Amino acid sequence: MINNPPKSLKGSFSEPDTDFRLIKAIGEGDSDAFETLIRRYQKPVVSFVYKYLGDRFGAEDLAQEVFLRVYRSASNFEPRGRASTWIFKIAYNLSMNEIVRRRRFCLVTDIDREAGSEPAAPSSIEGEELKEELMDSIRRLPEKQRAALLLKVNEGLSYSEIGNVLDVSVASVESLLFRARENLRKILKENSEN
Amino acid sequence: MDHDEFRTRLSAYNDGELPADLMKRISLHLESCSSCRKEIEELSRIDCLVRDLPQFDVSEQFASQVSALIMPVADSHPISLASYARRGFAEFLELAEVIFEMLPGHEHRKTAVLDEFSDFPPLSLSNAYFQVIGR
Repeated sequence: MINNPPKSLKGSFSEPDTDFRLIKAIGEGDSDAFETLIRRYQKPVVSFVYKYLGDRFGAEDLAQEVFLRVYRSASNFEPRGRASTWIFKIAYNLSMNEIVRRRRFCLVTDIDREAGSEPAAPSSIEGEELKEELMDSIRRLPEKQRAALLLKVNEGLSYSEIGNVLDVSVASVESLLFRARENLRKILKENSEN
Repeated sequence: MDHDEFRTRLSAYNDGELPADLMKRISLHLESCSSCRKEIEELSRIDCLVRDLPQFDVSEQFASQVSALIMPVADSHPISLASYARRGFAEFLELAEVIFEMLPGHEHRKTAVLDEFSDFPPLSLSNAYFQVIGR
């Protein structure tokens, strides 16, 4: 969950502190507040970037850039909506830039598969195959559908918050999610038939 | 609203993102439509699968590594003060050494004379150089 406190908090910030207070403190140059915010959001941000780009190796680097952007923009942050929406908007924009950059330099490859990386803690061969198939299916979704699905299902953002992140209306979010789930179902069905 | 129209709203219904009256109408429709009920089950299954995908394990040092990248900017003032203090102390030590060498009885600390380095081979360029400089 996004708002779970980190296991170990550095400095004077603890569970009752809101994200807004943390961001305000970061804007004033408080490095302890910055580390606390990173610990609070590192897992959802890295997971989002990883599933969105489909690249295990680039995920931490890009997430690092997301947090540096958060640090640089903290003094201009306006507390409207949830802080998580703002952070995911930065993550989404940087991920989009990365996709455009990779396309420009023809780097759109399945890096994980090329490197032959193993998924963590396999429960069963069948289960692992399904997960691989699902990751592959998510990668094949159009970019906005993929982002909407991950933000909704994994991060629990509302339609309005997703609209804010993707810069689209709530009606568009509904349509994106409907089509994402339809496409995912079709891809999974095709894969199971082959 | 007919069956097909209801069907396109099932995704938002499952997310609880529709207006209350439409939520109610779809609930009523689901009671009588087995195909839409199946669809809802399928949507929930897909969401469960996506949610259960393995999480990316962030390295233990991630937060401290990122935080360290901004430290020179964030804490530049205290670091500069410490640096100035160290530099000032080093200069004080240098001055103390010069004064100490000027005290009587410390001539032995002077640099070694050139004769100590005169053992170059007789026909070498270094020897020729030494002959010119050493005189």
